[in-house]
Amino acid sequence: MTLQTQYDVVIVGGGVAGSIIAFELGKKGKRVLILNAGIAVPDNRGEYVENFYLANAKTPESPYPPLERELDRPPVSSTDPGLPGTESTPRPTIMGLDHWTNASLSYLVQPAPDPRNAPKNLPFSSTYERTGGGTTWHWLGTSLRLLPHDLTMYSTYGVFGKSADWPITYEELQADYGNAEAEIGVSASVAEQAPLEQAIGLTYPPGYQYPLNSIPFTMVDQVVDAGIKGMSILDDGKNYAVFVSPTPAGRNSQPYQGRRQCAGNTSCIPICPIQAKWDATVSLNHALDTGNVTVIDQAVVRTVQVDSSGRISGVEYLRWSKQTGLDPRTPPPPQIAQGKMYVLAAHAMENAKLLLNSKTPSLPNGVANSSDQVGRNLMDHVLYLSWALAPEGKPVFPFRGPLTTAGIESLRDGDFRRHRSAFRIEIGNEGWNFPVGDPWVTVNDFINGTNNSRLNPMTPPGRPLPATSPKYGGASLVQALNAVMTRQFRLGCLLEQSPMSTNRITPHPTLTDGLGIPRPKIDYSFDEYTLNGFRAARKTCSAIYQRMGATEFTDFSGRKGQPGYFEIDWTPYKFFGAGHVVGTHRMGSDRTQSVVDGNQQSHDHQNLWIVGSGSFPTVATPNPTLTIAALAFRTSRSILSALGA
Amino acid sequence: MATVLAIPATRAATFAAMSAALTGFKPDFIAPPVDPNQLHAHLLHHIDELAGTTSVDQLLAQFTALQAHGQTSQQIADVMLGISPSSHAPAAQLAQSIVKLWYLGSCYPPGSTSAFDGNVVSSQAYVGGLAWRAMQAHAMGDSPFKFGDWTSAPPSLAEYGADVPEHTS
Repeated sequence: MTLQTQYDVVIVGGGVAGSIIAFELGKKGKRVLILNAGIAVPDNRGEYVENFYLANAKTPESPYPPLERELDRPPVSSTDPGLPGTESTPRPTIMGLDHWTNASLSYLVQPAPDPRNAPKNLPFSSTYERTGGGTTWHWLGTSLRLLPHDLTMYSTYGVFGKSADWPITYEELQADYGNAEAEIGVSASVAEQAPLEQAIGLTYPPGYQYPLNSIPFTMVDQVVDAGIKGMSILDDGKNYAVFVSPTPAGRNSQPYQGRRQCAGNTSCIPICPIQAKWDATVSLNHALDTGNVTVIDQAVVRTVQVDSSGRISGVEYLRWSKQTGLDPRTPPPPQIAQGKMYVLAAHAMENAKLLLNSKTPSLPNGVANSSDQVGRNLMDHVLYLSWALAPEGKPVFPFRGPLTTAGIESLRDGDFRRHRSAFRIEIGNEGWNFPVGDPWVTVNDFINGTNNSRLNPMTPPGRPLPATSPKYGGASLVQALNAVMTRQFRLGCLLEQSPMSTNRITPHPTLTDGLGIPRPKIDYSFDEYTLNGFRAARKTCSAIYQRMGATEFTDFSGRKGQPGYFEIDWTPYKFFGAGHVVGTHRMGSDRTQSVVDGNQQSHDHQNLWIVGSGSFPTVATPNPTLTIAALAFRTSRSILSALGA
Repeated sequence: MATVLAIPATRAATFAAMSAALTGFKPDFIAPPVDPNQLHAHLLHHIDELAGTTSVDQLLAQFTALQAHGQTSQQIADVMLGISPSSHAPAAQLAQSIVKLWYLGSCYPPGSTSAFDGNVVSSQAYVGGLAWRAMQAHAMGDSPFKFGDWTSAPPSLAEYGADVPEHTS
């Protein structure tokens, strides 16, 4: 065991929160160490882009190491996700999710589904990266603010219990939202967002302007926007307006901070090839440029150590040299990093895993866990996906522009939140890529004479598929594909999920990664509140398609057995993870019911901050990155204050 | 795409002409007069690896014969792909694999009916996939366009290289 140099602050993880905090502290002359579990951030992203091009399954993780083809063994199957028990930094992947009950293939250890009617033992379906820049390598860029009521779900709507109320107000967050929007470079217009003030209470400080102009609507957005003009939905006797808003986005509408303007590559997930979309490596570079920040790569933190006074005294980490094929019985020798202050910014799942793995005889629940809330209240934006063809004669020309540029935000708040999840609706610009797997599926259908897409011939769900499907070739193939694929679009509802103490991550008692560190074991289910949200999402999307004159093709009846499949009222549904992992170390003012305070400072250990979306008491409906960034600014001030700056 | 190709120019040219008929894209788009990428020769190399040169040569001979009989490109595609008359012969299945390779940049075993059986042969083949052009778009991750072009209709199918009337879309 070697003792390292002492830093002012040791940060575990260099994603959104870790990078921004490092930058803020480095600017003030504080000596900061970042321990990055993954490999060093590459000098340029060309290799990752190439990985994406060459991947057969173009999943969010496909560009990033460890790659399937790097494995030093024959693949188990054509969809082999790798063997997390032998990797240094395994992480959840979409391909691993396909094998979610097989712990030798899935990093997250998940139980088999429970056949009872109420969905139990569901697979937690979101993925993340464990490397410098974190999961922002493949974030969408959506940069929405929380709404005032998102922070007061208990006091406003009487749901989720007292601990659902955040210990900070929207007003207190306003300035840090501005800081985050400046750091990320958010493209949006306050004037264009103004209709949302009346609809859902979204406000900005007087005179506030986003740093960059908004991203203009795609043709998909234009057709949806025009098709639902004047629409409203009725819920519990109240009418709620349904309208399209431009989505504030962390992608450049004009050159910003040395990065280019978006060229509409339609691959924000898994990778923006030109880095027009901000990611945390931008802030990480800013942090390094201060000259006060050091990064140690390939350093996986195993435990957090606490001295007899209750202060964090160090973090123990393992430096690995090989990413795959490891023997967990022979990990590299541990090293210790020490600082005056410590920040865990390793991801909601990894933060909880680390704290719970750090139990000692004097801390039998693990570090920072006197409340027993660490690892609990695991949430995601569970995503209800639907898809349709735009009306004939109104092609929307998808697969152009950023993956999303607009959404329906007007349903994110309302009295209905007393009994069901709210949701936002993201309008997708990538045709049926997400729901069906296009262009691969439909192209194969038209060449093979099959009909997996239901477009060959066009057969909306509920109608029997014809016994045969035509085959096409030559110019007929071009025209047949063009006729349907230029009309494809989809809507994705991001539903808020109830915080439930039984939804949790705990370290598995026996299964480890390749470094011998216990892996996350997941318990995950939906309650009636969330299921009611699914019912409403389905009804709303269908109403939108009907209003537009679009032909809906949403159909999950053939997906039984797939991850995320469940039934409500004998109707098949499938949910998807949004990659928005929330709630595992929630903030609160009651230290018996929460892990950190409003500054993300541990209730139990004065020199420890646990940061990121794990601190959110509720997931609400906005994509979390902007709020993670805003809170990082708030936390930076708290740390500086503790350092006596 | 650094494959060193030892394919006779005439064979590659015949493959390009056949590919144009099978895919519905213009010959000068499939094999441009000035073509540093030589995508058609690159894809022929992969098809040779997939099926063997003998099978590919038989397909090329079938194409040449149909062309000599004055068949239109559409008629040639229909016959070779087993559309009219309907056929599941190995030659038709190989022709389908060729179309899939051009459209998706992935090599599919002849006779495969799964969309997920393909292997991407190169980044150039992926970004050059004709499927994206058939829907007047671009490969995800490889936009030749600029900011805001997505707000209005894209260039016509013909401008994307498709062998269709100029006014289409």
